[in-house]
Amino acid sequence: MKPRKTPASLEGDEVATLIETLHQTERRLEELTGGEVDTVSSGSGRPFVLRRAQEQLQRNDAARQNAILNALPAHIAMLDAQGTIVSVNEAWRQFGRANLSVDPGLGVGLNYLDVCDRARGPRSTEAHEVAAGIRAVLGGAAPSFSIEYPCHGPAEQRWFLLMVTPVTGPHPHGAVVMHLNITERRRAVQELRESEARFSGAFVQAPSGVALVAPDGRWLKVNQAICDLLGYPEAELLTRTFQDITHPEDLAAELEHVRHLIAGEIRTYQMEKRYIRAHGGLVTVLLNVSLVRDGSGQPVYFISHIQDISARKQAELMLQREQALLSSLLSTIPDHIYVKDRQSRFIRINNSMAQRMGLRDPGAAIGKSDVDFFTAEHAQPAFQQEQDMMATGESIIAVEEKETWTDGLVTWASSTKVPLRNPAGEIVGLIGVSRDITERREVLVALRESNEKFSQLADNITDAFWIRSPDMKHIYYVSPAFEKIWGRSVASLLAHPHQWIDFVLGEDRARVQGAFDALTDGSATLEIEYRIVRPSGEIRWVLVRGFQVRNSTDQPLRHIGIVTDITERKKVEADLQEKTALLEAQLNSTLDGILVVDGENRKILQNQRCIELWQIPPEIVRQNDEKQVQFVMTRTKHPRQFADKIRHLYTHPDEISRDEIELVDGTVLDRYSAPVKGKEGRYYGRIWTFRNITQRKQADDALRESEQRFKTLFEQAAVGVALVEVATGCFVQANQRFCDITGRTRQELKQLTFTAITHPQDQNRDLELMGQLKAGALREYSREKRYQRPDGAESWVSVTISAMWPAGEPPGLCIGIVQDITARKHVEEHLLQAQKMEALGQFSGGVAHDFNNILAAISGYTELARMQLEGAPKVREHLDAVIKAANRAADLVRQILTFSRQQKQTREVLLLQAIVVESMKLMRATIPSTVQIEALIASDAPTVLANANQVHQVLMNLAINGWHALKNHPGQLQVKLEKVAVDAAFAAENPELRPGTYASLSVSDTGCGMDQATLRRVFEPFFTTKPVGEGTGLGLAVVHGIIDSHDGAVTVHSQPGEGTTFRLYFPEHVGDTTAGQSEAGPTPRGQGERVLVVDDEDMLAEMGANLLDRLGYTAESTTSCAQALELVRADPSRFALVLTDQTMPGMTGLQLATQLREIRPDLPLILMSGYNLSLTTDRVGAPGIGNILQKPFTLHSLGLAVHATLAGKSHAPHGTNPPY
Amino acid sequence: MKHPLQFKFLLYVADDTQNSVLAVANLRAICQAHLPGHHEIEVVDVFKQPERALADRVFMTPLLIRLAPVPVRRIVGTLSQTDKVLRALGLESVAA
Repeated sequence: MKPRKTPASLEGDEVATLIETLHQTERRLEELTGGEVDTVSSGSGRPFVLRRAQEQLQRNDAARQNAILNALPAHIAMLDAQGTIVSVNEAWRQFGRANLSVDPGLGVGLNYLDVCDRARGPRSTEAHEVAAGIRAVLGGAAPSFSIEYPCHGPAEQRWFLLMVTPVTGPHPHGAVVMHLNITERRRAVQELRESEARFSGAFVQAPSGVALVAPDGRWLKVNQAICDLLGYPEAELLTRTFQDITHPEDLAAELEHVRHLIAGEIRTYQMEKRYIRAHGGLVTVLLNVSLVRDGSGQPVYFISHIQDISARKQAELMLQREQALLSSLLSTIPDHIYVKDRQSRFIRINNSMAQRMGLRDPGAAIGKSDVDFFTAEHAQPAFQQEQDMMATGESIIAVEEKETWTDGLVTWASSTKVPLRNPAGEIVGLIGVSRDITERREVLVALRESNEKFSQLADNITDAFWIRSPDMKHIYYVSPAFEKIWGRSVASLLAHPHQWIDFVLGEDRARVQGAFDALTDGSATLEIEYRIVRPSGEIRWVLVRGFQVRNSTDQPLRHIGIVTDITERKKVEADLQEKTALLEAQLNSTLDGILVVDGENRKILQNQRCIELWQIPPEIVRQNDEKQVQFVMTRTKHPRQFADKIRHLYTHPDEISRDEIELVDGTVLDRYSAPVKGKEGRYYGRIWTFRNITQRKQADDALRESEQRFKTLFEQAAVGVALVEVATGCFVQANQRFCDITGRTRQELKQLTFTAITHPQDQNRDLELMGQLKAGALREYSREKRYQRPDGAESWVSVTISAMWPAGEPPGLCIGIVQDITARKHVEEHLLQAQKMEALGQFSGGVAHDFNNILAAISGYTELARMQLEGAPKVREHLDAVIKAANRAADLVRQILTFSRQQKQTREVLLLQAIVVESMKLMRATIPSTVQIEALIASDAPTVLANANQVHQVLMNLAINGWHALKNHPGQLQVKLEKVAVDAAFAAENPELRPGTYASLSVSDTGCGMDQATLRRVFEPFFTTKPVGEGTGLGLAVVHGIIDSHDGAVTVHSQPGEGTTFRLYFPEHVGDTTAGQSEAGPTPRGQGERVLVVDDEDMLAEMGANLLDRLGYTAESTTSCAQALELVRADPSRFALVLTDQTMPGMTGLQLATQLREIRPDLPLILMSGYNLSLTTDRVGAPGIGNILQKPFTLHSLGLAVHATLAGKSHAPHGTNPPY
Repeated sequence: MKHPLQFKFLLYVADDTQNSVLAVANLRAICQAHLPGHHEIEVVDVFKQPERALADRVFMTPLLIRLAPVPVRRIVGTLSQTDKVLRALGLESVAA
């Protein structure tokens, strides 16, 4: 291994050189690669990144990290080892910007530690703690540090979590400080804590005992008051049941109450009971118990309110004891006690005294006096003494006296006598006690003690206690508790006893007075709760239990009353009642299922209806919320949507939602959910209500379905249907068919009345009928009428209008059913026209015949007269004029006969193409050049059975008519021959036509066009739009007559200003093409002989060849004479015959024939000629013309001519009549 | 015009350095325009697979290797001069 040089041992120059080499290398590489390379690698394969690329990579890295940092919500700062902020992220910067006034300096370059160290004021403790934490992390002493600290802004309270983590690496180079805003979390926790504190405070600090008790009797939660009451620490109490510590004598009764409560027979129970305190002793309480049930009605826990009434109980006990004591005193003490009346007669004596008196029954003494038992020695002074005492009212206290009994016994007694007053204060008697002197002290002491005890007790019990006269006028005694309850002094009450009723709350006063009056009137006891008003105005509830004390004669002696302050109990009761009522009303008085969840989406409330709606089995209701949600989802038709909605709302607490849920059984529930919010906007949870809207939904659906059905019926009807408001005539609705018929869109119709679209001539009748409908005279009517379409056309319709409002009520809508009968009308009209034409034809034909005969006579005799006339040239001239006029008249008559089809014309199988071409030539010669004439001739137009001359005449008539329509303006004429297929629909509109193939020949002009009125009459004879004398009015009538005789039809389309098109239909002739109807004998056929057709008209050359092919020849055609010559020259025997047109540019047919004969003298030739009638066979015979064929020719005449020429015969050309 | 041949390219790059990023973009554009539907491109980062670069004797990046059709061709650079690249890849007829 080579010893390595340490950096220190490298020579400075060498390093410099190496670096320079490195740089040069890089530069050179950059040059060589044009800067397009990022790395190069050595043979070892280690890539060496070029500096430029390296820098760029680093920049990319930095940018990426920065982007991540900036996307984080936390505020992040990077500190170096000294705590200086090296960089911060976007959140930090934003926070810094937003809170500049608070933390102006938290930016790059500052030392974070310094900032914390410098902190002063209330938050400096945390700042110092932060500084220490960061130092620990930077120094490696701690792996991380975090602290939550408040950082309240000027407007809000904020909390942050600060976390410090070291920058990873072998030793700390710095640290990352992150601040996370945890205000929301803190706030939530704090609110929870506050709420909990409030609740538990109310519970714990309640002055009376409040406890939650499980259905089995376990104490679940108890407050301090209960612990104090029962003497148990809370923890120990919670291990016991109420049964454990209930006095055995009270337990059975309470368990009975509990049973009723759980069974739902009662809502609450109240009882007084005794608990056994922890360290012995009993405590008596007034217990109020209610039961809390869960959503399914299962008991969850009891709420027990426990009020310590031991003191009251004790007081009651005391009173009873006191009475017992008094009674036993009277009956059992050895002292003699007696009550005397004003005359000193005994009213009552006690047992002891009776015994001493020798009486078995103390009652036996009543009415007797001392003299009955004592000797006068004692009885006399005693009587005097008593009378004095009762007279003066001065009691005789503990006077020792000697008693001498009638039986001789002498006793010493300490005698005390006090006057007995009636409630009025008058002395009515006396009470006396005498006792054996020997035992006197003992008895007196016992009595004093007893009194003191009573007084002590009475003074200390919280219940007030009073004794007063039966008439309520005097109060004998009031216990000090009165002052506590009433807030008034006992002294003032004693001073003004009648005021007690003033302290009763006004509205309770009558009731209280009544109750007390009842007591006074003899009722044995009294128990009443009422309200009193304290001097402060405070109102307190008291419970008063009173009873009467009666004397031996059953006279009321006094009232004794015990008063308990039940204000708190009343309040608790009222609270409970109110809450219970509210809750019950909310939950059970509604048909809606209700579910309330708390802020954590836990179920806290659910009414029975909710369970029923969802059909949740009880066992699931008892289980946790999640089970219930899972079950509920199985009931829905779209569980995912259902769950999504719940999730969505739980994450958007503010949203209110209403939607519909479909259950698997078809039930539809209306689901409503809204946040439960406190007044201050706090979110407590969410309420869900569910309502069964299946029926409504079904009704809706049924309605919608019905509506849809009607709509479909309406829309897709084959007839037009429209609803019209009768009052205005406006369209309310219309179906598509109606729109089609009227040519209007629905939008347009809504702006229109039915009158507006009706043909003006039909409007009046419409309005008349509608008026009757409106008046109720008609409920429905049908008629045929016309609509005027926007394009000017008419639609014939059959309408049926029906009133839609009930009879007798104001007119509403009417419905119109509309059938388009335009086609029918059209046919009717057509038939009408045809009949008219027929009649006209017959009429004019008849006249023409007779007229023709007369004309023949006129011209015949005129001719004769002219021949027989000698000299008199003037007369001859006049006769010539007569003959000329007669000829013109004969011409006219011929035309009438043509129209009336009275003239027999022969028809042949022919192709119209040639006739069209020939006619074009004449048209061009007749019509000025300002009119363009165009011919469109389809070669596939079928063969027809026609008279060529008549077709020619028709074409010329139409063309001249078109020219006249141009009215000396430049324009266009178009002649078109084509093959058309007539379908059933078209045939229905034009009764003359049957479905099938036709040759259609049309003539269009761009002239002035015609209106409807003119169109209707255009074919009538003698109908003309031309000035008198310019037209005979027979041109189109003749056309009609000719087409009619050809089993064809003629249609005309015209719009004023838009020109006119006449279209002629010739039925295709489908029979044997050679079978000419008017020709005698069959058409001769060829045997495949080769024939050349020469015609400068491409169309005619082709047609000629076509016809020859059909006749069994092999035909070729050419439009060039030169080519024809060339073909024959190349092979003189190639053709059996040449058929050539006469009139061709450059060379006539005769010239061509001459040259052909020079090549092959015996070549048979036929010359075709249009109208050069000067040519005859004889004349052309010299150059060897076999035949002349008159154009237009028929298949038959062509066949005859070709056959004759080949056979060396001359065939008389057919059709010698000039076509025009 | 349909090109019957399947083209396979291997492009060596160095992370996301500028030239490498350009080369990837240019290659994809060329293939999209001239070889739609019949090309495969594999991009290899020399930092991630240095041994593969060594095996393919990659001395500079970006480097494009045309693996198919044979013969194998190698082009260094960003592939920005489309004409030259097309010629080098034998795609000039397609370009015309």
